Amino acid sequence: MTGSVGRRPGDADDLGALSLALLLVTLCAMALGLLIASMSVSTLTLSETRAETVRSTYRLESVAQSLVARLDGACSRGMSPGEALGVALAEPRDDEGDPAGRVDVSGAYEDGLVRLRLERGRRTLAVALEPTPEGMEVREWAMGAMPNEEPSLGSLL
Amino acid sequence: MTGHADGAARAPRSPMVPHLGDAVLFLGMVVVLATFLRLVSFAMAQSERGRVLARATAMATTLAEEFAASPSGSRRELEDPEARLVARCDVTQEATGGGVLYRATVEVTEQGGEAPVYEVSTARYVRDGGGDRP
Repeated sequence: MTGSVGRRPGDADDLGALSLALLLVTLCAMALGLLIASMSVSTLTLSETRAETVRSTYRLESVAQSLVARLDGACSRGMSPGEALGVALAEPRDDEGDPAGRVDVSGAYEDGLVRLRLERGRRTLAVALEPTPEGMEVREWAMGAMPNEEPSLGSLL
Repeated sequence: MTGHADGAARAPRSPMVPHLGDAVLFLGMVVVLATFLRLVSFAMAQSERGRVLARATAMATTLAEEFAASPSGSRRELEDPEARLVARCDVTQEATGGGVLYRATVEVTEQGGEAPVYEVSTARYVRDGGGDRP
């Protein structure tokens, strides 16, 4: 009696080839999907970073303008620049109740100029005001950014 | 024994086995396809959010800059029909000792929507009889 050793459809060899093909298709689909998803997440992250930078910039402008208004008002009431600075910094600001929107402010009166430094996140604003008989004259208004502490690709190269 | 290389060792094959294998492969394919479609749909949603946010930021910046240039006479509304966004600028003023402090809140919403997509606030001080601050 002779037995048949021929292959039937659905044998292990056929399934193995099909499985391999499916595995390849799976890997390709997953890689493509992950690539598309990661690209879209990076795009969104960039937009969010830009939106936050713009928000910080205008927030700093806002606080600086209100400080200038206070200083100008205090000087017009006859206060000395040093006193006016103390009063302006001591008054509560509208950003203080909002931890996310808080702006750190420091100031000094030196060399005849009132210098203010405002920080929010990585954005900074340096302002120099000169007291004149008409009020505070702006001598410097410089928006900037603190260096990023995380290493970037540029710093690694 | 003649001719049977592996017949004695192999158990009789059930006719269901090939079908089961096909079913498992088919199920795997469906799972992969579903995952792929979910990833693509997630990516599309994220891209759309990013695009809308970028557009909203640009609109808010435009209104904020116009306000900074002219606090009392700037535009109060801006529309982007393509992105279906509306930006509104609310301005309040407060008299200080030496001038007027104008405060502006720019809010960008989707057309017909209430929740803001983006919001920015700024201020401008104008001294009495003087020009705007930088």
